[in-house]
Amino acid sequence: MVIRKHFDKELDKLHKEILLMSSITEEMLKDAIIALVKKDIELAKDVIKRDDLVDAKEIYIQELCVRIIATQQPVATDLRLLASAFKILTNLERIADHAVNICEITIFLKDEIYIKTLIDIPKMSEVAIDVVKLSIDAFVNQDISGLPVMIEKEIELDHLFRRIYKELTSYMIKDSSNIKQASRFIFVASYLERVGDHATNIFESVHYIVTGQYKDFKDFESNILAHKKEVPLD
Amino acid sequence: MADKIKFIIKDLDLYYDTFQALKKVNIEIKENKVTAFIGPSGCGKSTLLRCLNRMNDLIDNVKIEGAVTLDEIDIYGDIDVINLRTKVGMVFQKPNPFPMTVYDNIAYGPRCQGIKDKKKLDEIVERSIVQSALWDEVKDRLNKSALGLSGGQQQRLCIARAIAMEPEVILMDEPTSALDPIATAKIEELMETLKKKYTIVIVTHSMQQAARISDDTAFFLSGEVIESGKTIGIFTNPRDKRTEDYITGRFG
Repeated sequence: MVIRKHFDKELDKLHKEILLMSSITEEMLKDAIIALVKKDIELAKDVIKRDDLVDAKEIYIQELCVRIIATQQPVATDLRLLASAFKILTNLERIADHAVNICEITIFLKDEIYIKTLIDIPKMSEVAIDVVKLSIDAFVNQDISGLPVMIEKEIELDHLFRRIYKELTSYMIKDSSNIKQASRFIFVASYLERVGDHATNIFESVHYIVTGQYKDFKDFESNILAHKKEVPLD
Repeated sequence: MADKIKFIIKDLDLYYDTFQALKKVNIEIKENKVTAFIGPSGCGKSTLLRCLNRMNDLIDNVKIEGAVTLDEIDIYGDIDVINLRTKVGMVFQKPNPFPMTVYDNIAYGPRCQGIKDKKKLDEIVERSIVQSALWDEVKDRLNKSALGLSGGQQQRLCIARAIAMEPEVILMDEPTSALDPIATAKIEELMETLKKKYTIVIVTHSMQQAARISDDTAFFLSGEVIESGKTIGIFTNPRDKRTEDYITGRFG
């Protein structure tokens, strides 16, 4: 006999709200890159505005979690889910902040003619969005089988970051008037790399929910480290 | 340092007539710890609790197979049952003070053991009531009827009565289910202090109580121990799906 209808309804709501918050965040990130590439200032401003929505969602979902904990006193998987939900929210909120950071750069550079066509940054953003999606899918389905793909994408993200960094520093060395733009584009790439880190954090939380073990992503890290040796940053 | 084991229950089967209430139960109870037995009604947890001081002997047609040892002595072997029940005291669901004064309730057991000296009895009564965190509330009414105490006070009096016999183990069968939250909190606080001196085994229907007060938990279902271990493990990451389903309220 199922005797926790109300509890399950609340958990279902929590899932849906986190999913909604993550899709808003994903859209923000996508639009932030479109705005940067197309120098669409209106779109950039719109993304910045949407951050208020994400902040409000974060507070709303936190309150929902607290209410569930207070009224249902969860244990086992339910407890792990709720404890992890707080972490997931924080990471999603940070991803949205990075989208805002990118838009601020777009606005900052609005009167500039770009020193180069942006190719790798949009590519990197696609991968970053992919890892966010992977981690959220893992959360929604409570399934961590996507870990190998996650690692692969993280390595790709790191690889792209290093490539972008190298290319842009060479622009700066070539002509110091490129510094203003090139340094900002490096920031953008760095924000995208951080997005990947936040997605990894989310994935780690899901790993804890599913297995009850805090995964020390050593294998994950050693893969990245081995790769870093191959492509040094400087 | 490894925990000392107080009780070892090995392959314990218990039948009420033809009904098997316990099935091959294997479990160890650690000294100076609180062990909680949880599970749905009729799962055998109270039956097992009553095996620990042979209270089931009082029921007709009970058949027990397997072994229960207390400090490595088989309690179903050739032992003095009265002595066993002195060592292993019990507190029940409903407070059951005797219809006599507070003092006489506590002194009852020691008197039965032949202690007559008033000074000695005074000492035992005071020490037991102090240990049960009841002294401040009853010190001025030791000669009044115990039936005039509140439910929570009566239950702590019953704990004091058990303590007066200087037991090694205290068994508690849903000791707070008839009490309000404040009285419950007082008993739970008390258990935290008592476990320094005694081994406590508690049957409880409250998952939260088991999580709050016990060091180890055993989950019972249909006469079997499904899972036992550290309480923190059971309540954050149970190994068996049936434990998960029960403690999260997916079946009841």
